[in-house]
Amino acid sequence: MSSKMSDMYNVPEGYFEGLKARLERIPAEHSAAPAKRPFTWMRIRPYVALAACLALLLTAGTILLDRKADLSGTSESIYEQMMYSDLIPDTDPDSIFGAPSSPGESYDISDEDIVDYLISSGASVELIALAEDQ
Amino acid sequence: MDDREILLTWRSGRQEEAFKAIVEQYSEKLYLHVRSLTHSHEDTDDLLQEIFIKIWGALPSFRGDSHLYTWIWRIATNETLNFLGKSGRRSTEGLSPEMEQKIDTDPWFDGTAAERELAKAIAALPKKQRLVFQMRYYEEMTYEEISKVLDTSVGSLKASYHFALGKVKDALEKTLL
Repeated sequence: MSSKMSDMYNVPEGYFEGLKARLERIPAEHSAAPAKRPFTWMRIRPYVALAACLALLLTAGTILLDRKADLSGTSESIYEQMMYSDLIPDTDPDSIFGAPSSPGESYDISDEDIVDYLISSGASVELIALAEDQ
Repeated sequence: MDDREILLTWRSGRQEEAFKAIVEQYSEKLYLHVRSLTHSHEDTDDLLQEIFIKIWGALPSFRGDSHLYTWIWRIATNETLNFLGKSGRRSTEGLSPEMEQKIDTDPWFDGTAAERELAKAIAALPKKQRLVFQMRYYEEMTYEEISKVLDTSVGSLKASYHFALGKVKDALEKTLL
């Protein structure tokens, strides 16, 4: 602080001593300032914000990964279905629907159906002839 | 005790001790700062009580983003400007008759006639120019410190000081020459 001001502005004698004594009584005369809580909160606030952001990122990441896993599971099952369908021989669908619905029931498959199956599945002529004979 | 030690004392739970250190460190400096704006010993005395009550109440929320010194100066400046605004002593244009009378009749003014005219010329400035001139010329604060107190850019403060200096020179030439 410049001496320009202290030279210019005079005060009654002993004024500053009295002023300081009066001002130092303020804490006793006025409600005590709240404890350190706001300071503590201010100090930890950035860390709390960081933790919240990390938690948000983790949650979002988990949800995203779960969704991806579901999608890949679906495509895998489609591939499996395609693989199994390849294993099923190209045959007359009626032969499948003609299968008995309960044990003990006889098959409703005619000789003609068997011959058609053998022809479509590429069986040898001898085998087809044998089937016709039987 | 410097500002850092004051804050450490406060944070360690010794609030009253820290407050006493602030009183010890700043009461006289703040007196001169406020007095140069009010031009009245009695008004300054009343205002200092209010300013230190504000400081005591606001210290728990002081985050340490700025220096304690600039934070205290900001509180003091705002309180003083509010007081001058309420008491109608701060006219929007030029020097109010009441303020002129205060400067002329201040029994605790020990300056020369030229310094009294200078005080009037400064009091007649617009608010921002007056504050910048006051803090720069009398209190010898840097533009960086003033910018933190007034929350204004350094460039704007330099421009304000330049305009203020021109007006003060003109006013003194009219009255003294």
